[in-house]
Amino acid sequence: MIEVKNVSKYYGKVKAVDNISFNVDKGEIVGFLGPNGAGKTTTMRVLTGFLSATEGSIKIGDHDIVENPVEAKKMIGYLPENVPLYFEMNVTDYLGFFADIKGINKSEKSGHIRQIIGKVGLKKVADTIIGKLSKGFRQRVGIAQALIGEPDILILDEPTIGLDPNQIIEIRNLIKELGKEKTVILSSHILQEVSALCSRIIIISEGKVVAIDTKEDLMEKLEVGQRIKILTDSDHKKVANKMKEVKGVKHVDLVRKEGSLSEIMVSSEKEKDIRKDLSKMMITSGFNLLEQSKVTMSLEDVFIKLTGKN
Amino acid sequence: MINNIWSITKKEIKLFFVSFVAYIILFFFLLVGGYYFYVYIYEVRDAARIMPYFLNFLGFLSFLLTPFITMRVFSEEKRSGTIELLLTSPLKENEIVLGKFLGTLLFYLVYIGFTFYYLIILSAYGKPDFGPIITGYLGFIFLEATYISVGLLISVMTRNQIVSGIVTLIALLFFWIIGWVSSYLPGILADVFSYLSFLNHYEDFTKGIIDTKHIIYYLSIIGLNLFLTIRLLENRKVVV
Repeated sequence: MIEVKNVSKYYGKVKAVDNISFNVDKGEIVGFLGPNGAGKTTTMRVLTGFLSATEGSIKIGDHDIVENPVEAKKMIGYLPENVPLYFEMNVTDYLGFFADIKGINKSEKSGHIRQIIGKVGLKKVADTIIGKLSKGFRQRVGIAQALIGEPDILILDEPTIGLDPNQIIEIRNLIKELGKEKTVILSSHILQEVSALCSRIIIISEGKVVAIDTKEDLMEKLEVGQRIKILTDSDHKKVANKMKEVKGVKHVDLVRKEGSLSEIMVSSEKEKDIRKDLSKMMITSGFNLLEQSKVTMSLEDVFIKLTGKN
Repeated sequence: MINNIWSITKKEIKLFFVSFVAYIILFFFLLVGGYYFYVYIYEVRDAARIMPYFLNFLGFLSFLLTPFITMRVFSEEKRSGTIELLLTSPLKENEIVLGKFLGTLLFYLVYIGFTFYYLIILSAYGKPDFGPIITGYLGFIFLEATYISVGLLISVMTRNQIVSGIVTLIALLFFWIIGWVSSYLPGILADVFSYLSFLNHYEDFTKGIIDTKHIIYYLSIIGLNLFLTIRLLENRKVVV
C-alpha cells in the first residue's frame, strides 16, 4: 500500500530524515515511535506530499507522490500535528469544504458528511462553530476531515497529544475501530499508546529507523519485564537479600536513600507478575512496606535497549 | 479544475464574511466613500461628471483598504497550519491560488456593489453619463485585481498578518508614488515611472476609454504576481 524507499529530507544542511525505507501493507496499523524531533512529523509530511523528499521515492498504492501527486493524495486522509482547523466555520460547513476539494459528488455530499459525523461522534456539535469546541471534539473534527472521501490510508500525526485521559481513551478506541477497514499510520512518543494500537512499530530516532518489528517481536527484544518500585524504612540490605529470594525477581537495585527511607527498584523476568509475592514477602518478613508501585517503561529506556547507547 | 477553484473561492468568501475585520473595512469604505461622494456632488455639480471623479477616488481608497483584505489570505492559513490541509488535498497549487484570488476579488466587489446606491441617487436627480461609468467600473475591476495579486504574493511570504498587510500597503504606495512623482522627473525616467504606476492606467477607463494597452498592462502584472505566488507555494520553502 505504501512503499518508502531510501527517503532523506534535508532542511538546508540539517538532515531531518536519514535514508528511511519501509513498506506498509493493506489493513495494517503501523506506529511511528520516537521522541520529539526524531523526524516523525517530517516523515509524515513527506508521505502526504506536503513536503518533497530530498532523496528517495514514495509510492502510495500505485502512484508516485511526486509524479502523480493528485491521485496519490486522493488515497490519503491526513491529520496533521496540532490539528489545524478553520475556527470560524461550523463542523458541517468545514467538512463540506473538504468534501468539495476532495471531489465528492454534490448528490452524495450531505449523506457522506452525515455518515462521517455519526462515525466519529460529532452529531451533537454538527452545527457548532469549531472555535467553540473542546480539544477532544476538535480532534474528532480533524479525524472526520481525514475520513472525507473514504481514503484507503489514514495518516495521523500525534492523534492524542494534548488530550485529557478520557479523551485519549475515546480517540484510541476510534482509531482502533477505523483500523478495521483502513490502513493506518500514526505517530506517537508514547510507547504504551503505540503498543496498544499498532500491529507493527517503526522506531525512529535522529531521523533514522532504529527498529521495524511486529509488536510481539519488539516486546521480546525489549525483554519487557515488570519494574516495581518499593519504598521502605527497614534496613535496605536485608530487604534486598530477601527480595532476591522471591521467585521471578531478576534485579534488585537501591535507587535512593534518604535517612532511614530507601527506594528500591525490583525488575522481574519476562512477563512475570511479581507484585503479589513481593508484597507478601515484605509483610511476612516483618519489613515495613510504605509504598509499592509499578514503573512503566519509558521511551528513553526503549532507546537505550535498542541502540545500546544512553 | 474549475470545480476545485470554485470550492476554494466559495470558502474564501465564506471566511471573509465571518471575519470581524471585513466589517470594519466595510465601515471605513462606506464612511469615506460616502463623504467623498458628497464632496464631489458639491464640488462638481454636474451629475454627468460626478461618477468618473468618484471612481478615480475609489481607485485611491481601495489601495489603502485592499491590504487589510489580502493580509490574511495566505498568512492566516500558514499561521494556523490549515495550509497543510490544502496542500495535502488533491488540489494543485495553481487551483488554490486562483481560487483565493477570485474569492478575494469577488468579496471586494461586494463592497463596490454598495456604490451602485450612489448611481441610483445620481439617476434620480440628474443624468449621469453611463458610458464612462461602465468603463470606469470595468477599469476598477482590473485595478483592484492588480492590488489583490500584489497582496496575495506578499501574503504567501509571511505567516504574520500584520507584516503581510503593512508590506502590501508599502508596495502599493510605492506604485502610487512613482506615478505621482513621474510628472516631476525628466525624460525616460518619467515615462518608465508613469508606465509602471497602477493608477495611471486606470484614468483612461474613467474617461470612457477602453484601451487594450491598459488591459494588457494589468493582465501582465496580475499574471506575473499570481505566477510567482504559485511558484512560491510549489516550492514550499515559504510554507514551512
